[in-house]
Order: sequence, then C-alpha cells, then structure tokens
Amino acid sequence: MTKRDSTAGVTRRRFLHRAVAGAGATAAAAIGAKTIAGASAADVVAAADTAAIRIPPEFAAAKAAPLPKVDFPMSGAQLFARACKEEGVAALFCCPGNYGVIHAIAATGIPAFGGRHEGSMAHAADAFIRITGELAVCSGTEGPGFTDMICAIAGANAARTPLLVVASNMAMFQEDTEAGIQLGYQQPTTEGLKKYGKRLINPTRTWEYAGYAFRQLRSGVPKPVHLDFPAEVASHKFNDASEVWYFYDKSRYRTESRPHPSPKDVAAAIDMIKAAQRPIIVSSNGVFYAKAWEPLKRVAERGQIPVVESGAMKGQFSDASPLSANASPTALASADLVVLVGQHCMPTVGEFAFGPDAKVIRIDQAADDIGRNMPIDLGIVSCEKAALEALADAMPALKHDAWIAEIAAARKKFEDQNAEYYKLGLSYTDAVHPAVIARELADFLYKSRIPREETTVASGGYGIARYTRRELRGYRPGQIMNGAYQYGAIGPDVGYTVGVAAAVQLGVGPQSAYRGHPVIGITGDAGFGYTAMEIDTMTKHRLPAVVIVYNNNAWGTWITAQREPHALPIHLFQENLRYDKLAEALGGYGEYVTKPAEFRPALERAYQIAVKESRPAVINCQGRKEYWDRQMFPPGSLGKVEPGVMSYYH
Amino acid sequence: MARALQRYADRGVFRGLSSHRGRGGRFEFQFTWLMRQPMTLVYDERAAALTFRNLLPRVGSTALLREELYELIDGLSTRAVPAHKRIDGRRARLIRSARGGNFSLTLVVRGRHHEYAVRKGLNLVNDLFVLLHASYPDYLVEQFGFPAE
Repeated sequence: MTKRDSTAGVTRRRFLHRAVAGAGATAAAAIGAKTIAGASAADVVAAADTAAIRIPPEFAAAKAAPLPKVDFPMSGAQLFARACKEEGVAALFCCPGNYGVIHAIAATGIPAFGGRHEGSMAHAADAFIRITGELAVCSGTEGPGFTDMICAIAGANAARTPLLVVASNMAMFQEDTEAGIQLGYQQPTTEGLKKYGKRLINPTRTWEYAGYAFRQLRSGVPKPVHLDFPAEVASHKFNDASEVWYFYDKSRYRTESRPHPSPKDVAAAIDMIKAAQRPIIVSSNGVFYAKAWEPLKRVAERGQIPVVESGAMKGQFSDASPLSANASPTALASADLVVLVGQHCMPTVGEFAFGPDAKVIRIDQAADDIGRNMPIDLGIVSCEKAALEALADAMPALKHDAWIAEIAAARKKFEDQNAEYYKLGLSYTDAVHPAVIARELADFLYKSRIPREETTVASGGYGIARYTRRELRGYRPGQIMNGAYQYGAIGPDVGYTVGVAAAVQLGVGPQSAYRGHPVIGITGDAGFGYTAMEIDTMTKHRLPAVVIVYNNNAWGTWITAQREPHALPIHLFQENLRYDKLAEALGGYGEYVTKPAEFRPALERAYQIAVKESRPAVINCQGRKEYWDRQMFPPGSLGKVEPGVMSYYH
Repeated sequence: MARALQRYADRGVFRGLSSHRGRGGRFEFQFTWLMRQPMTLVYDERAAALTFRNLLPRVGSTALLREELYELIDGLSTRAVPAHKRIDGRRARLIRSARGGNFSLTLVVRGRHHEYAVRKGLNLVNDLFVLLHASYPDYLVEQFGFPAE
C-alpha cells in the first residue's frame, strides 16, 4: 500500500496550491498534484519546483467547439469520414498519422481517442467493439504506424471483431520507388488477418469502397476490414456529388436482411431438444453481435436448458440465472445435446469439455463453416437472433430438473474449490496471492454496494487470469471483455482497458445504462509492460479505470524455464518494480499492495479516485513467481475448462 | 466392440481408427481423440477386459494428481455422482492401476454389455482429461505436448 508522507513540511494542500499556481490558472485540469500522494518527501520538494502534470486546455476546447459543416467541395478523406458517420461508427482510436482521414473523422463528431502507440489503440478499438457490438475504427500512419497495428489486427481477426482498420499509404505516384520514407505494401501484410481489404486507388470510388467495407463489417461472421489510403485518394478534391461514383445512401449498398432458419431445421432441432435429457446451449460471439440475448433467454427458460458462454465477450446470458452453466465445469461432460449458437471460432474435438456421446447442433450465419472442426448432427444456417426467435416460438415447455440440479451441484463444487483457493491464498502472507485478488475483486464487484451489473471488466493477464476468470461473472451483455481470446496476445490489456473505458464513458450499446462508471482492467506485469503508456491516454481522456497489475517479477513462462539456468533470466524482470509510480508519473493514481489484507482497501481507494476524479488508477499487486509452483504453493498455476468462465481459447 | 468404436469414428469423434490382433489374441484399437497422440485400447476377449493402456504416463511423480484421478474414478460407483454417470457394476467393473507410474484403466465387461463398457470408458476418459485441463495443465504440456499458453 502506498505510504502517505506528511513529514516533509510540504502539506498536500500546500503542494497542490503551488503546483496548480505554477502551471498557470488555466482551464486545464491539474492532475499531477494528486500523484504526489505516494511520493517521498524529497520528491515532493523537487516536484513542487516543477509544473504539475495537467491536461492541456485544448481537450476541453475540443469538446466545446462546434462541429464544422462539411459539404462539397470536400476531400476524399472527408468523403470517407462522412461514410463512417452515416454508418454509425462509434469511435476512432489512433495515433497521429493518416492525418486527412483522422482529422476528417474527428470533425464529424465521432469521438476520437489519441494514444501513445498505434497497436494499443487498435487493441482499444477491438475491445470497444467487443463490448458494444458497434463499429469502431483504428488508424495508423503509413509504414511503421500501420505495422504497429499488426498484432491488434491479428487479435481482432482471431476474435472475429468487425474492426475497421485504416492507414495512410504514401502516394501512388511514388509506388515502388522508395522515394522518401515509410513505403510499404499494406494489403499483403494483412493477408490472413482480415475479412476484406483494399488499397484505394481511384478517388471517385471512395464511397463505393466504403460500401464494400461496411457490407463486410455489418454482415455475416465479422472480421477486420483494412483500407489503405494513398495521398491521391485522401486529398482528392470533389467539387460536387456528381464526381463521386455510386454516391447514395447505405440502404442501397447493403441490406439489414438476415438469413432465417428453415422451418424444417427448426423442427428438427426441437425434436432433438425434446429427445435430449441434458441439453445445453453454448452462446458465443454471434449471439452478442446479433443482440440476441432476449430470445436466448426465452429459449433457455422455456426449454429449461442451461446456457454456457464462450467467446470474445461474456454476459449475454446472466450468471444470476440458475440456468447459467458458466461456473459448472464438471457438469459440461454430461450434456447429451450441445447447441452451439454463433460459435464463430470453432474448437476442435476435445477442446470443449463435452463428452463423446453428445450430439451437436450448430447455428451459424456461415454455411461454409458449419461442420468445420466439430462434426455436427444438425446444421442451421441462420442469423443467431432469427434462429433463437424461431426456436423460442417453437419450444414446448420442457423440464430438466435433474439436469439443472447437476449444473447447480457442479457450480457449488466449483465455488467451493474457489473458496479453498482463497483460503490457501490468504495463508501466504509474504506477498499477494492471485486467489486473494480474484476473490476480493469479485466480492467488491458483485457483493458490495456496487450493483453487480454495473462494472465492465477488461479481463486480461496470463497467470493472474487463471484465477480472476474463475471469479468474474457476467450479469448483462458486454460486461466482460475476454482479453486473451483465441490469439492469446499477452500485451494488449491496458490498450483493451482504454477501449472498454471509452465505451462505458460514452455509454455505447449495452453500456448505455452504465455510462460514466469506472471499469476494471486486469493484467500481469508482463502484459502491463507492453501498453502501460496508455495510462497517459486514459488520464488525458478522463477515462476512469482501475488497472490491477499482478506483479510477480516474471513472465508467466518462468515455471517451464526453471530447469534451464542459462535461459532462465530471459523469463525474469527486476523484482519489486513500482508500476504504481509509473501510473503516478503519467497522471494516474497508484497503489502498491504487498500483503493480502491491503488489496481490498487499495481497491476501494482506487475506485473512489476513478469515481471522483475520472482518472485511471494502477494497483500494483506484489506477488511471487513461485506462486505458480504447485509443490511449493498449492494450488499453483491453474488450467482451464472450456466453455464457461475459464475459457479463452474458443 | 469394434462396431461400438467404429460408430465414434463415423461420427467424427475419433480421427482414424485402426485395429489389429495382438499378442495372446488381444485386439488392439488405435485412434486419435483428445490429444495429438493416438490412444490405445486393448480388448482381451478371454478376460472380457477393455483396457486403456498407459493412458496417462508418469502420473506416479505427482501424488496429488494420482489421488485426484482415483477419487474421480472411485466416485463413479457411488451415489455422489448423478445416476447417468455411475458405472453399473452388473454390467462392467472398473479397475484402475498405475503400474510403473503409468496410469491405465480397465473395464471388465459383464455379459454382453460391451457397448456399455465402451461408452462408459470413453466418457470416463473424457472426464479425466477435463480434470487435467482444469488443474494439471503442466502435466498435459509435459506429457502430451499441449500448448503451454
């Protein structure tokens, strides 16, 4: 826990006064002064002679400035920005670069978030989409700015996120010359990482290709779309609409119509459900993007069918329901019928816990994917919402009381095991065990004065996630962003937290009822290292997030490297690093927690800072890498059972 | 026996299913299912015994793991588990062993309940792997080459 030093003769109030005065009495928000809370006396005196960290007044000015009226004559960038606005793009995440396009998008009023690294901001856009279901765009400049986004594009591709990636890409007249700098062929670079991509080469077709992009983003199984803009397109001047080809409303270049299930398929599914003794529904990405949680609930309740979630986000079926099987891993193998709904990222046989006798129904929009990896007994090509509505309408009232009792017993067994881990964690008093963080975070989120539906979580980390996932619950759509989903990148977590916090700050989609509330980000020390500078991004955009960093001085991989003395240092960091101070240095709030009993109070304080000051906090939880060793510190590093609360592969 | 296993192959649960007659008139079936390596199932007709031979190698080095495996298996004969999971002693008898540290599982078939024994055996193996995934991921990495991350 951070120690507050009041012995320096410089009181906090006095320091605040001097710091703010020193920075000038502007409309800017001085925030650095508050970071002094964790500083030593010498630091305070030294800091008192320097200007405070502050958010430049331009941020407030930008919010207050009226939007320009953009009309012909306009540039290619402005034309594309108009398409984004008309398509309802909900946010832009970027770093400087691709100036024409990002400036034009910002000028439409689409909320624009500028960060420190294009990759982090692309991760932010991915996370934003995963918990809102709405579109966001990320942007980078040509060359390095674009390639910085590659990991994020790959992550979004694996998570089936409809992420719009845009990047500038020099001028066509320089193609192949290496004139100047930053030249590169972008489209081949994203090969295999996108649903659709195009280098725009004909300015008159800008609107048309925006249509190509949004058709792909708004239909079927989503994945990223990547457009790259040469200067000739972004800066092209259109004098009037007649110079733009296919310039008409979106209702003419795409449809909201969705595939519906055939009555024969619905009848076959109902017959299989009626014949089953232990049916279960796996609700995944497709249910979320189709906003199909109401018909999902109706199907489950009418047929008394348990629901377990998988996917890049969780919460479309409430864990408060007795039908939720998310925390009942040992019951999954008993299912005799599995109905996979919108499971875009398919596991192979054996990756889900279901037994060898379970029959499988798969409902998906993509006929060409049904039957891949997991053999089916029935495939239904349909929009997830349409299929669930049809099933709900056709579903007779069924009873599966014994099966629900088995789900409940498995849940109790799982929760008892979690309680046992917590008790063990508390017994390790020389540092903070991950089981303590997981349980006390869950108690704070779901059993305190905060309504349990309120807080959205960017669930990340590697080793820590093996504990926190077990305790996190979803009570409404978009409550949990499943960070490592499928691509398994270690570093995006703070970037993801930016996107989650932005979505909640704006109240987009299912986050609308929770607008402005703090969010929680979870990461490890390895992950934090990649995207930690985005604490600055959250501070300047006033995004209230509490980032929990599990600091065990090592990569999560150290356990497998223990027997390799020459290689072992590869897996280690300096010990006892002060990530909390890094947060303070970036205008955030920091807490350093070294004992189990300190975690909950630190969390309370950090949360209050987030509430009252709308700025991020980092809780640096000092753990031990040896906690992953089962022999020394049972239960050690944990595994996972999929689908359900623990799942992140599929 | 062969027919019962073939049905799993036909449904796509197994990848590949081969069989040959081995020593002492035993039938050996091989198929790939829950891991990359093929699994071996031996049927001794004379003893009416179906054995997942060396299903989990080197479990002896982890006493806790062995204990948990045994606890799960022994529980299947009790009322602690749902009725549909129990193994009916009138149709098959379950024997577990960890000879040389390698864990094997045998179902001795009673009467003509071969299909029952196959079904129960496979479901039990699935349960054992769920346990390993949940609590012993390091074992799966070391013994079967599962991804470490």
